[in-house]
Amino acid sequence: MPITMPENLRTRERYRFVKGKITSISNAGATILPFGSTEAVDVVFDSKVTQFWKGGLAHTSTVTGQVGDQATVGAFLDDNGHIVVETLYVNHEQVRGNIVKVDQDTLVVEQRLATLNPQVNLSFTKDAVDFDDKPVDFAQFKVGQFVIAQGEILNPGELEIYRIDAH
Amino acid sequence: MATITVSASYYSLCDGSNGACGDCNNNEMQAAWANLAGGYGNNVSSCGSCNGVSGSTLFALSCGENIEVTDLCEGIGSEVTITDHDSPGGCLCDSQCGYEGLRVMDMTEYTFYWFEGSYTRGHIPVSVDNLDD
Repeated sequence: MPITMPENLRTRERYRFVKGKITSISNAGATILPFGSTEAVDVVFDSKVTQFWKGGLAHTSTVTGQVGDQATVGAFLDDNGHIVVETLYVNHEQVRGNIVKVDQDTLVVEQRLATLNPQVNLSFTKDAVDFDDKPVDFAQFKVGQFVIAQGEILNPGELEIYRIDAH
Repeated sequence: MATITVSASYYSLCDGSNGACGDCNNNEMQAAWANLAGGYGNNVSSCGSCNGVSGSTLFALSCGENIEVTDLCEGIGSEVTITDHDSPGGCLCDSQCGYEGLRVMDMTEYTFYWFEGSYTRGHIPVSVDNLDD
């Protein structure tokens, strides 16, 4: 996805990264409580700039996300002191680990370093691709392979993957 | 100054006090490097050549060392601090945006988002200037 923020705002000094829980959201903006913090952050949406993601390969300009969802935000401080969102990812997560089970259309992966849910179930979006943008061939997956996958958290320990590499 | 082209992915495990160097923070401009000086070793020493860089010749970087990194897809650069030891995915010669690169860098989400504005690509080709050489 190309970067959308104007160059005069897209500087290191203005850059803000926020990952946490959405505590409120509207068409104008959201409040996010960063993980490990008690100070919520207010961010604003700009229809000319802001892109949203919630699953799959596509982004949208339609406001997406609900209170309680995990949000990952890349944003920039404008001249009025507003934190303007460039991208907001809803419930996005990366998984790294070894395949311990291959089912009909799902994988069970054991993560080596995860603090929560070391074993996760991975299903796939219809448009899922590998890291070279080639459609995923499910027949390639074997128990023991190391995978890096990214997708949407559906439930604790359950993700729907849109991009995966297996080795 | 040595400049090489390699591949970088991202990870989300830095909690502010962990990682090989003890100060890995997902909310800072940091990255892990496959060949970390100080007794950590070279995780990709057996990897073959990819765009002129082989695992055995990959230069070592130290904890706290700053490098100049440029995202070759977006043309955006920044100084990045090495705070962890990692080889994301083994011996992988990634291809993206017309560049190939041995995957030897793992960025914090803060860093990857700064360069890309999104997670979409998953890995990116970067030029790395070892500022201390």
